[in-house]
Amino acid sequence: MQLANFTLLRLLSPISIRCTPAAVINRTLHSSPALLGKKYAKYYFTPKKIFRKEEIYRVPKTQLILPHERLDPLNIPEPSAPTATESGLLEQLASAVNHEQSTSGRPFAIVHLVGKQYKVSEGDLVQLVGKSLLAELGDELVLEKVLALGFTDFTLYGRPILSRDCVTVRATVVEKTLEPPKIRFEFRKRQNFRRMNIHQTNATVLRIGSIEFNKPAVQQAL
Amino acid sequence: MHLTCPLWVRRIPKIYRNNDPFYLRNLYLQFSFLFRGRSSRCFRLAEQRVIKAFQHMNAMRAVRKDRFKQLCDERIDAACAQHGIPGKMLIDGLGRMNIQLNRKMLQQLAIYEPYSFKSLTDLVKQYHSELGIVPPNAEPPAPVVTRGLLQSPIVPGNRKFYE
Repeated sequence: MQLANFTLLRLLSPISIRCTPAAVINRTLHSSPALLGKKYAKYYFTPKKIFRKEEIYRVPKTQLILPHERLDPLNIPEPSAPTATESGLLEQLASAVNHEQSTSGRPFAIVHLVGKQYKVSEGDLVQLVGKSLLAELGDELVLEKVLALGFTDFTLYGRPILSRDCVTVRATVVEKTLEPPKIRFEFRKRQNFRRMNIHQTNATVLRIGSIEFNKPAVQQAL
Repeated sequence: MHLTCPLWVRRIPKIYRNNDPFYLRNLYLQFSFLFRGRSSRCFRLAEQRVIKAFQHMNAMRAVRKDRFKQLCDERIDAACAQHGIPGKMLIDGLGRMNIQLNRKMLQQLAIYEPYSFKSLTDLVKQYHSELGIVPPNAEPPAPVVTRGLLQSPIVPGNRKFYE
């Protein structure tokens, strides 16, 4: 809601809106933290952007493969031989893969990261909300779960993931801060019940470096 | 009019006692900044409006997710209709082929990568034509090289269908 986003900005501004002479005197007295009460301190201080303790992302059980569902590597079927028309199309694809130059267009990749999917290209910023990676500032990561890759003349789709030989998507951790604060206010009428909770979740920001594409590995798969 | 210092100064808040009511009222008034009329200036009116605004905020949390999902479905449906396919057929077909792209990602592809989206619709048409399902108003797909693998059991959860 537009309302909530705007009011949060006003809450955290150290300057109060209704500025009376009494308030000016009071503000000088209240600047010392020793005199401030614990209860209201968070409402007239801007909270420091300290990264809270790490919350690790755990894959939920519904997304894991159970042992009786795992594939036997021996029973995976082999592809049948291509017909004449199909072999012609495969040659077209192979030539497109050969002639692909990263300078011509802007390649994109669809990446699965911390339970969400992001469409990513070079120089993008990606913000991970809530759960964080056990990575420190400046660490370089390789994002391995690539669902799709796109270039000017062709795209590659993985079922569900492309093999690691084909692609490397590099990223660096740029920032580890808190999100802007979110308010949870519970109210029950005629019961004298109101609770206010202000919470801030962790946010890590990644800068995507480069999407490197390995041609011989892809042509082997063809 | 000159008042003595104790009457000007607000009571310094100690923990859970002798707190000046200014602080709690100012909190509600900060939330009611751009409200209409005296609801933005007077506490007794602002309190009511702010509490109602917070209730709206809480109620919208679940609704926002549903609306985003509806938006994605609408966009995917509109993009598929240009290729003669219903939107649900695309999502179902991609799931059966184990291409696990989000609705969010599918709508991004439909908007910004139309050729990639067309290739997805061609895959889905080929999958269904192998099973004998042909959508009525669709053009036949561009030739798809399957090599017998489109129906094959690459999906871990489909083991029971091919054993």
